[in-house]
Amino acid sequence: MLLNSVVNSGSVVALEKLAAFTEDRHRVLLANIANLDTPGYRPKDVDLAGFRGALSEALARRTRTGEAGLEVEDGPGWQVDPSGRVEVRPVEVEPQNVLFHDGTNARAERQMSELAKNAMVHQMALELLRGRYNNMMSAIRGRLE
Amino acid sequence: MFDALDISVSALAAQRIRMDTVAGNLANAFTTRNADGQAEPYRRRFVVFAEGDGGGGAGVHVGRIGEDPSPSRLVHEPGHPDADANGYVRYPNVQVSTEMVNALEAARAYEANITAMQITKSMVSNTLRLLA
Repeated sequence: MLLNSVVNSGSVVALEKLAAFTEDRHRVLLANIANLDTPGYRPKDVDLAGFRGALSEALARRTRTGEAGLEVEDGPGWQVDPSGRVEVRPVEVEPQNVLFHDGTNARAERQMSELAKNAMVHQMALELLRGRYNNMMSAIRGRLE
Repeated sequence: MFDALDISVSALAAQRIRMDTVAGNLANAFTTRNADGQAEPYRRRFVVFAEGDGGGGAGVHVGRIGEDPSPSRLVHEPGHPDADANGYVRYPNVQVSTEMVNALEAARAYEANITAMQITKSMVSNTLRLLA
């Protein structure tokens, strides 16, 4: 199908996956911030850099083989189910420079900056996706506006 | 995506309860009698947070409100109606400086969660803009 090959080609699939991943990671970081003062709580995270690596690897593989879809490999913190949906499984972060008696180191600054960075990646993915969709709309309309 | 706000809201509620206990402690910093009018000094209360919103979702909730078992402050005030045989009055084990630091921490954590909510909101509106 033409539309299927258009929608599943280029960067659209990768951007969709990146948006879904950052959305799920946002939830994980929110829980970390909510639990800043919870005794014994270990901050959790999913590896964004690792996911981006797997994504670029999948893109390179697709360019090599010339397939239409995008097969992202599962990683330590995420799983891609057959329908292509990304499922995030947060892992506890090893505490560094333990500050408190319960062995935690809830660093608000770090969590907040991770939250902001994650939101920026999400926004970037969505803006690029919007650009792709707008291109498609222009192609469908058949004229530039 | 919309339920991501609930995580931050649970933290706002928990921090507000923490602020309530701080306010209660400060209000009762010099209370020497209990609700029944007996000469029993007020005990400092504190919140213990627990993971999860209490209903199975992600977030945080107040697991319990504990009472500080540390000894009361003894002040020599022989004329006081609640003074013991040696003229000492038992005042609550509330330390104003500790409470103020607690209040500050709660306010900062509240702020952090408000900021997180604003980021969530902008993420949602960015997502909705895809449809436009």
